[in-house]
Amino acid sequence: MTPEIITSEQILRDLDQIPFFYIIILLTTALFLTSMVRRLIPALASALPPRFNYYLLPLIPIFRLLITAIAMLMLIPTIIRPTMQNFIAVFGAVGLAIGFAFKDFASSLIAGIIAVYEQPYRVGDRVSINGIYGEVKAINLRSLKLVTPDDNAVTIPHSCIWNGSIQNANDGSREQQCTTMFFLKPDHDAGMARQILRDVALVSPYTQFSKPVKISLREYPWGTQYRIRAYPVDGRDEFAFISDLTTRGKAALTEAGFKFASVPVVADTDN
Amino acid sequence: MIIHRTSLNFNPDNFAVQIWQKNIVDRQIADDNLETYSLMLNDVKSSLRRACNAGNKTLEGLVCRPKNNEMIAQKRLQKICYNFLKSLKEQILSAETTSNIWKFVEPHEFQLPAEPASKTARSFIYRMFSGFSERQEEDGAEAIQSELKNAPSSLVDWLAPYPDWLGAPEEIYRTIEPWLEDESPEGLFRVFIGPYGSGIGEMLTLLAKEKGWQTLSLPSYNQLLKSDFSWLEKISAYNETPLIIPRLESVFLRHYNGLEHIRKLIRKLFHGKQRCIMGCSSWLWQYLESAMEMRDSFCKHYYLQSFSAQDLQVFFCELETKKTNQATVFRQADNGSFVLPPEITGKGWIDQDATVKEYTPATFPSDYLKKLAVESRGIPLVAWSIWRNSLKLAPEEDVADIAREVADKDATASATAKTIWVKAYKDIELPQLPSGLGQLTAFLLMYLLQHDGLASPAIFDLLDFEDDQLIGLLNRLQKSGIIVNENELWRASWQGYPAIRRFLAEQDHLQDSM
Repeated sequence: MTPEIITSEQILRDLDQIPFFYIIILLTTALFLTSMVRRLIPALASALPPRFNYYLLPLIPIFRLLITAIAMLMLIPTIIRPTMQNFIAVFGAVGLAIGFAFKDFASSLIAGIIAVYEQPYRVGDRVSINGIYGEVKAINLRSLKLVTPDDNAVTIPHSCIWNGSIQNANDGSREQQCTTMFFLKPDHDAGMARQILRDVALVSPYTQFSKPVKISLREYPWGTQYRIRAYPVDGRDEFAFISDLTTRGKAALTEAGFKFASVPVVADTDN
Repeated sequence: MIIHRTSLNFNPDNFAVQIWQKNIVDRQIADDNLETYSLMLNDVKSSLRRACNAGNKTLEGLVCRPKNNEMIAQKRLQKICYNFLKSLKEQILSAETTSNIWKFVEPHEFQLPAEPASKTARSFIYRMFSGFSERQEEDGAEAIQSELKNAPSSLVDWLAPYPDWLGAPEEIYRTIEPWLEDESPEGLFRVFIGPYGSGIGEMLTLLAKEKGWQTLSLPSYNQLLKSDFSWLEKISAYNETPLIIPRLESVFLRHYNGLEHIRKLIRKLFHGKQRCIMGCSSWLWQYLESAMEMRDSFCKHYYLQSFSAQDLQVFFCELETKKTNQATVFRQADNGSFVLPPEITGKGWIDQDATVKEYTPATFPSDYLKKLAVESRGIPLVAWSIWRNSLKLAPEEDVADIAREVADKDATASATAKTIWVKAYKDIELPQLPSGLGQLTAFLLMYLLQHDGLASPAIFDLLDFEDDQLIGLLNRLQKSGIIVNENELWRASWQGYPAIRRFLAEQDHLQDSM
């Protein structure tokens, strides 16, 4: 039995059967809807109280994925004859091509789909990926866009989720613990310094009081490390909050006569 | 000419009324002595009021001449008398319970004024089906309202002067009397908490003055800022009479040196033997509770119960009647209904216009006051400020004349009640926050509420932001009426308070519980 030879004419529709006008309308509509999703949801989020950002912004990639999938499903039958053999042939060829030529691209696309459902990061989250820390501003099909504290936009492919670790500071919520560190010379009244730093956190206008304010100490040969662990009302104010605590803390400690450790050291930030 | 001679027997307890009318034809009364039909009804009411006050139950010989010589149907007159007696009794009862508008309750008993759900549903259905005719009425009313004149400030001060808080100190004293008399009391502190604009500080100052109790001498701003605790030394370790701290905000500064003052004060009072009564705003209280977990340090605390619509009615009537003997009626500009009971503010003199709706007896408290109670959260000064903003004059009134009349304190009371038009609640324009404001605005407003107002230097010290940013923001908020600067002190405006509270809630900032 000789295998059936499938010709290109049998897979694709004849040119006169392809509804080009319909395809143009379909693609334009899909692009328009995608663009609207990208504009309307952030606009809606900005009009509502800030806490809604964390529910609305993660919907953007989901809607975009849905629109793209629906558009593809509507588009393919208009170009390809809708038979089982044709679909197997087309997807097989596409798979082969992707496998060789667009391996990384396809990997990122699939990782992007998984990321939408698994949600290791969402729009608005503050994440650290491959040592790059920033706020997730957009999640596209192939990559995500971070904005670092230095206002640099960094594009990272979704394939990072396969083999890298992702640290998410707020994991979809508005709260985010922030740590502010102070280093004092060892000979001082630790209880007083602790009380002052606690008061510094309590008087900051950024502080969220539904979460605890904690002060921890660690002794080193060159001095004492103090950490204020507190939450700002809005996690996006992380750096403003840390700056505010640092400014107030330095002023308060200086006024109370504390001396800062002046030995040039590198702080152990992992503990 | 037919004159009716009318006699009534009535029971002021169950409002039952019996009426006899007799036609008199030959009575010679000059036309100019006979008033209109509506005035005749006023005569009946005035006579009823006098009879009630005298303890009588019979009225005889009322002489009436109805309009167009129509005889008043006995049943109709009976109904009017019934309604009037009923409202009279309600007014007497409410007057008797005037002092009770100030109530101090345990936190779990505190309630905000709320529209009943059934009423909300009714008004929703009414709005849905009221249709076109109501809109036409509203359009007409809007046209009338737009012509109303602003009442001069002297008139507004005359009609709604700043509250004197009378009655509140007695209520505070009554609340703590058992504690004061207890030789081994449970805790030495009692805290009275009220929302922004509640006047708690003034009430406690009055109480201290009335009872001759010691008031805490307050530290200066620099003492609070610079860890100078010398002011605490003036507090004696033992005194038989209680120490009054009218406003705990006076010893509070949201600054790293400021919190220690509160801690040391509590410590000193705890180790002493003198009882202490404090007043505290709900915003500071929430902060002390959330940030410093100090609720239990103060033993027992009471909330000022928010004003209901009925309380507001008594409050406004008291303000108006204390200031003047002039008869005044307050009517809503869009539909003419009475906002305050004319029997009280009219002092027996109700002008003819006011009686147009005589046969549809108004129910009190009015809808205006119900809405005001809800929107102002029953806070005395917030409601008072909105009330003042609502008072208008008819287009034909000469504002200059009225200002002169008000200024002349020796002027005799006019024979007819003056009508003051009150803007419908939906038409009152309250200050709103300008658009595009961010975190800094929330911080500033929160600090102003927690400190019950701050001077400019304190704002710059406490909020660690650029001076030009703060100056711009202060000017912008002042221009929109959200904050005011009085005696070099910036504070949230009372009328702007509802908008401020909503804004802070939207921004997820710490909220008070009142």
